[in-house]
Amino acid sequence: MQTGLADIFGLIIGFLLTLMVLSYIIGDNFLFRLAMAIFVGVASGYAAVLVIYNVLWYQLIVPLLTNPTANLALTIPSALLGIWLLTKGSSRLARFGNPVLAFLVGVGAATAVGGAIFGTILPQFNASTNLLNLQYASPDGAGLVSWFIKGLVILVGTLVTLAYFHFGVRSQGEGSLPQRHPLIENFLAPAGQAFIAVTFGVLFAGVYAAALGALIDRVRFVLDIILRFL
Amino acid sequence: MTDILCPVCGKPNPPEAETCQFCQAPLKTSAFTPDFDEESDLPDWLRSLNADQNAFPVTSPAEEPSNVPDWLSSIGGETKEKEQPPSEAPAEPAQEQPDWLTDLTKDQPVEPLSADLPVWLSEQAPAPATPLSDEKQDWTDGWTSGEQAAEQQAEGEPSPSVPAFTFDAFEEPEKPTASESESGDMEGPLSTLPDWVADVTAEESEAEGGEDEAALAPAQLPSWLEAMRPAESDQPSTPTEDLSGASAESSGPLIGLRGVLSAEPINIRMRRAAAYSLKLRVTDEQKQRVALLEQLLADEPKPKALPAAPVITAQYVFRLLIALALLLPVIWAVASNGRLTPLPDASARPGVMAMYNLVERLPADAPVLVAFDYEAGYSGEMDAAASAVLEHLLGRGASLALVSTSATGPALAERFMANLNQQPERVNNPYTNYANLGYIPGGSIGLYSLAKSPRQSLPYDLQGVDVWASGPLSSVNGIADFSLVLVLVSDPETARAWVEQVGPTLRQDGAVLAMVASAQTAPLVQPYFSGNPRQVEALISGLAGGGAYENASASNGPARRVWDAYSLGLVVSVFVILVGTALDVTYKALLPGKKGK
Repeated sequence: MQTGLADIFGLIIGFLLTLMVLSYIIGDNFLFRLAMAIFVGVASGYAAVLVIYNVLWYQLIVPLLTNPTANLALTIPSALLGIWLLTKGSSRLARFGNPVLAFLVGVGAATAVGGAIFGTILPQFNASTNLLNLQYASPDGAGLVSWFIKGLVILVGTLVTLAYFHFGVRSQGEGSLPQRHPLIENFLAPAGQAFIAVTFGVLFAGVYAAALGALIDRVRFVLDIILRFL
Repeated sequence: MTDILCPVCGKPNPPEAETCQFCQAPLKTSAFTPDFDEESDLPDWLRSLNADQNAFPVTSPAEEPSNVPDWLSSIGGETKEKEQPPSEAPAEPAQEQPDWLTDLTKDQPVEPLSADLPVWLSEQAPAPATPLSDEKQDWTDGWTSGEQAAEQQAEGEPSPSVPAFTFDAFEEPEKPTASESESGDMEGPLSTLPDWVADVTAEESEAEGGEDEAALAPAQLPSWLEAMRPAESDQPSTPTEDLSGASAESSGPLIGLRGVLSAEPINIRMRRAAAYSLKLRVTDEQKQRVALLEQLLADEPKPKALPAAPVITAQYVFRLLIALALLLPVIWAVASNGRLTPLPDASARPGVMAMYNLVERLPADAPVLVAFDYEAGYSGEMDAAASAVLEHLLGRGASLALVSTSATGPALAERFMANLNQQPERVNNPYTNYANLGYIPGGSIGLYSLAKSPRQSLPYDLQGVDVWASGPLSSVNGIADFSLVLVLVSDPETARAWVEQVGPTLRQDGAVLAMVASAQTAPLVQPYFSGNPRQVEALISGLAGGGAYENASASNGPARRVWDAYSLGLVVSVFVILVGTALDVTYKALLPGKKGK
């Protein structure tokens, strides 16, 4: 494998920046803050270059130049809306960009809501109803018990978690405070709370595992650079 | 008996009364007798006037009835008739005097009227036939009182040095003028003087004013006038208010009087505004407080130096110990490059097996869309998790189209492919059947657009090549034309956006969506994989999933190289957590007072 001079400088810079970030172990210091500033600046510059080069040029201008007849109806409105949105950069002309911003927000909200309904809620509702459906069990019956237990745990966990978030109260008569239903208050809600706690624990474990993976990658990188130059 | 009319208040009094029972004015001192030596000196009309005085119930003696001329007697009778009430009997003639009057005249010493009248009186004397009015009766009363004063002087009683009736009384400082007297402003007997007498009085006073005023003392007043003074002669029958302490009226018509209601209310009385000093009077205590406030304000903008935190604290030491406890095993495991711990079993992971089967079922040169939607910080984990999958795909001859909804995604994709080609077996045969289509702007909207028309969303790759015109992607017109859509994601929201925006289109057309998720994202993607039907057909979670896939594919990828360090690091982490929890529980158990802090 041939290594160019740029790659060598890249490795050295990466090595130094990694050490600067790892210096946070001994506390907040100038090297750590400098590394953070460099990362922010590099990321912003890279994003700007990417947008100009990959989006504006190859997704807007080049299609218009290469095949203007086919792409005119799509690129011209996009370009006009994009230029119109630039008015938000000026405090004096910002109000003129409200229609474009409203269009973006409206389309984005419609897309998100439609995706949530047809991509998450309805499919997950359908999947929950089929948890104990034998039609989706193994045809040969292998692992049927585990399949049933798994489906039962998921079903119970879903129900008790939803019950935990049911905060409706019922009047208990004169002189007494409204209270949740005893079944929810004493059984379902605590069970749901337990499932939520397990979920948060799993999420924390996943975050920790991801961070540990990143740490191992950086340690391996540092050792690799050290061993390479030694 | 005939009552005696009070010369002051005009109310009747019994004959034996010496003072008025109503106003306490002396009744007998009001008699006036002209100080003439002989009655012969008087003119006829004046003598007749004296005789007429006897017709009135006065205390002073009058002339004898025999000396009263007829005309005067007739006038007196008429006057008496006028004073009688209508219900009484007709008045008697003047010659027929009542008994009481006769007695009175007898008691009084009769002095002859002097015939030597003064010139002025002679000149001013009216005709005898002129009837006397009530006013004339009044001034004759004064004359009789003067006569009585003379008698009192003769009897040795103290009497004023001047006649009881004198015209000088009109020359008091506040006395009205002759014209005012005519208008009736004067009260008492003198106020009813006829005009001619008033004129004479004025002339006489002018002629003898200076001499008489010098002779008269201000306090020597006529007795009858002295009797009118309430402060000296009248003693109040009822207790009166002591007005000595009352404030005297200072303005208005009642000026100088005490105990009267002020004509000008106090609140509207003009007075000079109170003068207030413009200089603020500040006490010493207030000065001290002001100085303290100024000091506080002056010190406020000054930055206060924070207390220097100790460099080495228990927390700092504890953090270093934890870091060393994690780093040392990891460094040792990475440096040793050992194979101490086996890779996870893929068969125990349905997601990994599903992924493996998907890749195995792909036809040759199958177009596969790979999304690098993770951040650079997760590249170590994601590279190890996805390396075996992509290497498997490339080994199967799949044509990869690399996209990303993250700005750093295209660069990470390039780096990822470069790392794959740096493997020793790929140095001479690098993977080239992929196209980096770059960045998908717009987030969820961009994904929705990509699902509807990949060609219009990403017409060129990063090198500006139209990959849709020729090559393996030329057969792709929609998202469902990809044999597999593989998403490498580290963010749960991004994973959900792929499922929600692209998933329905893929399921509609029978395409497959698979994910390689970070360990922190996999729990949230798991429901999409575990449900029936599956929204995500295959799922590899984190470094453990990548290791399981390497184990299934029998490859020696990055997951294998870091798996020992990863396993050891997890064990150490669990140990640190357990030790820390045990120490915390023990500390709180030994020190109950610290509980809750």
